[in-house]
Amino acid sequence: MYHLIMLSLLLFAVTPSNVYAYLDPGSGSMIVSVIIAMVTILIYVTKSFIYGKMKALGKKSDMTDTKREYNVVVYSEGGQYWNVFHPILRELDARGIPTMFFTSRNDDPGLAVDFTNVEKKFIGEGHNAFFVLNKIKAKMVLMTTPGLGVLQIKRSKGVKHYSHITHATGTCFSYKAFSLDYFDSVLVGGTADRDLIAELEEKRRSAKKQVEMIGSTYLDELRLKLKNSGYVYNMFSEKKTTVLVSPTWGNHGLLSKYGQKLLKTLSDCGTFNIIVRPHPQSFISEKNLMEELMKNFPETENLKWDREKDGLNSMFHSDIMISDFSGIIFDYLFLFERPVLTFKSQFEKRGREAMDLKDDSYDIKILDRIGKTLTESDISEIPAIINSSISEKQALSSVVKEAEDALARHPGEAGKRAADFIQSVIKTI
Amino acid sequence: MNILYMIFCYPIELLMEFLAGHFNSLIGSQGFSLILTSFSINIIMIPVFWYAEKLQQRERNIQAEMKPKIDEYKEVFKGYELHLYISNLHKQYKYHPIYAFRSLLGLFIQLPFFVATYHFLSHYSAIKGVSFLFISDLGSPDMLLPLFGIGVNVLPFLMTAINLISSFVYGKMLSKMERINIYVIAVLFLVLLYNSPAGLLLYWTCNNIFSFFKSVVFVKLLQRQKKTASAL
Repeated sequence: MYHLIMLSLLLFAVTPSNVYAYLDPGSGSMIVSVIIAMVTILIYVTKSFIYGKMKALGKKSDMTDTKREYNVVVYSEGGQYWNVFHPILRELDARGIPTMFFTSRNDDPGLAVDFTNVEKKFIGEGHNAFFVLNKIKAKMVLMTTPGLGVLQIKRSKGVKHYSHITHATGTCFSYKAFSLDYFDSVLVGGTADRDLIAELEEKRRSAKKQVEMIGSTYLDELRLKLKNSGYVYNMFSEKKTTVLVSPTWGNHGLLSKYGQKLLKTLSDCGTFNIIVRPHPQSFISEKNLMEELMKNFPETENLKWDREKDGLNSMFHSDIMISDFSGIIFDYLFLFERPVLTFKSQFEKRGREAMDLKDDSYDIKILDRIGKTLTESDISEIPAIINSSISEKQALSSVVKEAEDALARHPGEAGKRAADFIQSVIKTI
Repeated sequence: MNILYMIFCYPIELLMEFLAGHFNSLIGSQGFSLILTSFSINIIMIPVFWYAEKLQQRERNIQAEMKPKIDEYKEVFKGYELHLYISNLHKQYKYHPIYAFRSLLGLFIQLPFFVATYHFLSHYSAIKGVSFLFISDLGSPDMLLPLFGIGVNVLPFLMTAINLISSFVYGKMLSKMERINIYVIAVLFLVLLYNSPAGLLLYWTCNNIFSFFKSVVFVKLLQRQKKTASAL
């Protein structure tokens, strides 16, 4: 057909110019469409060319042999995901399954761990990593990075099976659009992500993926750490009801919207110990806000700023959490079964998976039941709300059980279940 | 280039000459034979027009389906990321911008008819010096309206009026920008054709009357098809 089009275009070019004037409006609109289509295609092709060149600017990594055929490859963007992968690598290693662990950070704690059957390699960041991952040959690749085949990491022809593992206890509703569409399987926490993926597949009429509900490897690691931690209440000299303020970052985050008012109300009250634990990204993206808040609410006997790598100690110290829609809410709920007060924020759905869902996802809907959801007008009443929520926390246990089933089932078994799944997949390849 | 003309346009020109000659020998009027030739060619062209219209409609439908998502991505993504997300949306809809040409296939099929007609009527010696109804010479501009000592051609205005009405009907299916464009094209026709021979304008005025009725029917049919599809 394209030959016919090209031939017609040629004919069009040799036609006397004023013959176009004889076209009726229908044909006239087609000419307009020709012009629009040609301009659109020209822009698209130019962009594809430029972006293609940009991609080529990335250095070809000389750190990895792309001709080698791997069995299982686990790719991590960096140390922040070590808790996700560690239980799986431990299990694969124990089962004698040859595995290659690639990381994009040379300070990844995984590089320092001794394994028998797991090799470890730093493959660089950005284009260096993309080059390796796009050329790789393996039976199976497992990663937390979403957007396979959409963003820079493409499906390599040499990989038989791509699997994604979720890295937080919330659902994938906040992932960017098409984040999971081109994976062959997804390892999820529970029914909430399973249903969310099925809804997206149905809406987009995309290929059905294998969805394996393994629980949360990351949460299991925190459980282990908590068990062995031996934490004692020593952040404050006096034991009082302790409130942990732990929001997400960005314009829609709690500290950005109501930080000043909330911290003032809590401090003025004088009956609480307060731990403020901003999202680490806040100190990068909202530096001014953080400096202002830390200046207005400096550390005192009753107020601490927590900038530790993990928030376990702060969670351990607190009786209640105040948050927005940060993933830490469910870590807190499942590890400590303590109430969480959340501020209803305007979550930006555009460009994200949430936009294609009929309703709010499970982890948003359940916020009303794991504590109270608040608005700005509730801030002045917050001391009373905190006290009443703590006194009603016994009612939480049934909700926690239900939420665990939906978001992070099989406590303590996620690594084993993930390894079972990986083993079953590679057996069939 | 001559080879292309000989392959695609010349057979059509021969057909037109055959039709115009035979109609003239049957009814003895060059003017009416041009009108009948115009309608005959249009009838032959109906399946092509319908096919072209359907292809164009399919393109419009897919564009309309993707538009809300493209608008959404343009609001939240920029540069390379935006390009990747729009490319992926195309992939999801099994679409590529190059497919826009698919909808234009109909136009390219019609093109040899346009070229042949223009060529035929520009050189058709049989209409030179021949009068028809109120037109004194089908082979020259009509100059029907004497104004300040100049003969103003009326047929180009008549043809443009019909074109504008047809554009109004057809334009109901188009976007605002496309509607403006076809009105501009209709007015442009007037400028370009103003000094053309009356026979040529007579032929294309009839062609556009036919096109008007064709547009009414096509709009109704496509709207009905769209309603049925959305009801399902």
